[in-house]
Amino acid sequence: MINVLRASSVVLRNVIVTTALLAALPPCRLAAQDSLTGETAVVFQRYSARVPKIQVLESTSGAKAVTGSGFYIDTQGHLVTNYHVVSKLVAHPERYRAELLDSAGTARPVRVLRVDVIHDLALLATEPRRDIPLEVATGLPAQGRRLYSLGHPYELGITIVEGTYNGLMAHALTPRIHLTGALNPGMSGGPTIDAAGRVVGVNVSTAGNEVSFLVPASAVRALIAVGAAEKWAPAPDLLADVARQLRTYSDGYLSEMFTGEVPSTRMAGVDLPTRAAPFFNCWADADEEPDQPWRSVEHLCTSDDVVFLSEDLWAGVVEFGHTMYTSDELSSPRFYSLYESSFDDDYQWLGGSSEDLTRFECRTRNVEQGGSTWRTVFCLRAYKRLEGLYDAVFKAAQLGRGNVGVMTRLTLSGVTAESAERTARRYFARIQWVR
Amino acid sequence: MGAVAWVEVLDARGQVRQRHRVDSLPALLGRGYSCDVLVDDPWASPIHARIYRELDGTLQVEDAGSENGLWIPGRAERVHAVPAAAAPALRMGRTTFRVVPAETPVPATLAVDAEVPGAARWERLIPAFALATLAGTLYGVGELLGDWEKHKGGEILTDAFALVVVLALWAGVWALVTRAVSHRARFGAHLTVASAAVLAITLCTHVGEFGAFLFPGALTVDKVVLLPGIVTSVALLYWHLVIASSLPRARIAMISVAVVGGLLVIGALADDGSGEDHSVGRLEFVSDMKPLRARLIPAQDTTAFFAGVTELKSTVDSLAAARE
Repeated sequence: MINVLRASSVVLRNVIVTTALLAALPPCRLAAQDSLTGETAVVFQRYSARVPKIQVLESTSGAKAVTGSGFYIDTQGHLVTNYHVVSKLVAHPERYRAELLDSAGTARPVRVLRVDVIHDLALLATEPRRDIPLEVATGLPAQGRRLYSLGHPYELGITIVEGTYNGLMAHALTPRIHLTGALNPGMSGGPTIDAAGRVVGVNVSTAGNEVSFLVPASAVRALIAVGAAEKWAPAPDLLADVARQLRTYSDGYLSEMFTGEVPSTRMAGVDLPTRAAPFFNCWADADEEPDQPWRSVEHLCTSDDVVFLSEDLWAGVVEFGHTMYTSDELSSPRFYSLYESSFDDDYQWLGGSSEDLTRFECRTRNVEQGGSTWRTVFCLRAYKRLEGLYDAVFKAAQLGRGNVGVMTRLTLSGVTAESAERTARRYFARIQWVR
Repeated sequence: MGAVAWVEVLDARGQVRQRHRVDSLPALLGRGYSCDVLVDDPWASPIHARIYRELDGTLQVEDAGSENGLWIPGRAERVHAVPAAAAPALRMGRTTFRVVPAETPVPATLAVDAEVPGAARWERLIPAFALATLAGTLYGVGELLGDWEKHKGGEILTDAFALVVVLALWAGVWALVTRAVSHRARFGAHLTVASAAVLAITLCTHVGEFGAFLFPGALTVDKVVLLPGIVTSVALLYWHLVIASSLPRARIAMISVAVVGGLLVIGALADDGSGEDHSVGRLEFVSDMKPLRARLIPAQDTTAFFAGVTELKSTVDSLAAARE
């Protein structure tokens, strides 16, 4: 029984984990690049010097905490990389510092000017030293176009990887380019360019098996425009920017959620929402074993779009699911012991530590909705360093039906409290008991 | 030659602790080795009292010129001489005693299987075990209903039997203590007290679960069980001590309250929060649910429910601000 609920969380967790970010972490797979064509060699020769290695160092020891890649965008020492490469520095400027290693192996200090946490981008500045920039493309290439990813995987030095452009990801909340090519840890923040040296996207993550993802050039151009408009001045408070971006982003995708036409699924006579937006993935599974005197069916919808905040904390999670329990064999008191334990045993899997988050506070009541009574729980925790952001969990279990019951839950991370409350209210209002 | 009289030294409950045989009269009572009845009491004089027979044949007790006097417990004045029959108890120094003439009649002999005279019905073994079995059965039923796996049957009996055994062991330890202090073990009395306490806690827990289910905003099982739990613990200790010792009841009550209170304080001090999970991932809410019909469950509407979210927000906001 415990496994039913846990299993669903494991599914989504795997999605996140396998979409590994490319900032260098312990090595997992080294892809051999053995088919460099003449053109690749030319591209490498021409553009590799424009892609320095970016390192975030622990201040007191000077040891590497994160390594990634970046690229120059002008001759004034401005660069672009991933937010997740420099996220430690943004969160704890007192504990970390950052530097780049240029093609000559010279280290230069860098600082963070602006961040775009939603698209996972950061704008950096270093002292200018006649570096040659890369041009950022304006449009998208044709599908199947050969592209070249540059970066510093592991500690192997500057590397070029051939890949194939496979369009924008369908149904994504944040746009991502699907690249068929082996990106590896350490290449995060490096550019993927076409043969003419134009940046098509920024290396960001991989799902393994040559399925890789890029931040589209349009997001890079937008960040550069912000930096230029502010005359390249560093943002006064980067964490405040991160919080503001997340609030705007989450208010955006939640504003219409569970309004209008929402497809529904019927479980044990209860109509429940499913695939509320195109960016949701929904699955269902049943748990039935011969020795088990009860049966359950689970339906789970998740969005694959998550926003990296730190190694164990992701915002932008939207997950909702329903579980139906029924039993012919168990007496209702024993069925309710099962039901209660299943409802109770629910450590939500959103990460985070007490440094970043408060504990959850919950409100529990018996509530009338859609023709039946529900044990209803709403839990909220606040981000300590990102103002106005919260994680919310809404849970409800149908009561009063003897040996049958449906329970449902909605999980939102990195949202405003108002959006969370409004979304949960609309979600609950969708649930109707059709006798 | 038979005894003329007996001097019975009494404990604080009036139970006989020692008997001294008096073979001839007059007899001297006191701390000195010349006395007929020796008492180990530093507050008694070497020759403290004297027992003699009046001309009419009645036994008389008189003060033999003692330092601290002869008293009748409960009365404010020293007595000089008193007929033994008129004083159910006397006190010299700190020793309480009575003088019983040898011709005093005793009750009829009991049959071998008869109950102890004077023992209340609740002290007897059969009612005590009946109560323990009831507590065990309730516990077994609770365990059965709290579980949802397939049963081979008989597990309820195992649970019930296990609890009866535990209760019997508990009562046995108290009975050993009691036997060491006084002349009877009173196992049945201890078993009754322990069983009643377990029954009370079990019932309170069930009431608490229903309370938490019906009124999750106000009650939790812990809240419901806390006060009755403390009261039951004090009562349990109080009755075990009353049965086991001869101390005055007021003092036993004080001891019981002090011991339970002390344990609570130690528990509170030792609880540094490490046992509970306050991690940021934990959802802590009232999960108790019971198979009641919907119309029996007090419920609010969704508007009222979601109105309370504002309160949650200010709580977590203050938590976030407090830890800066």
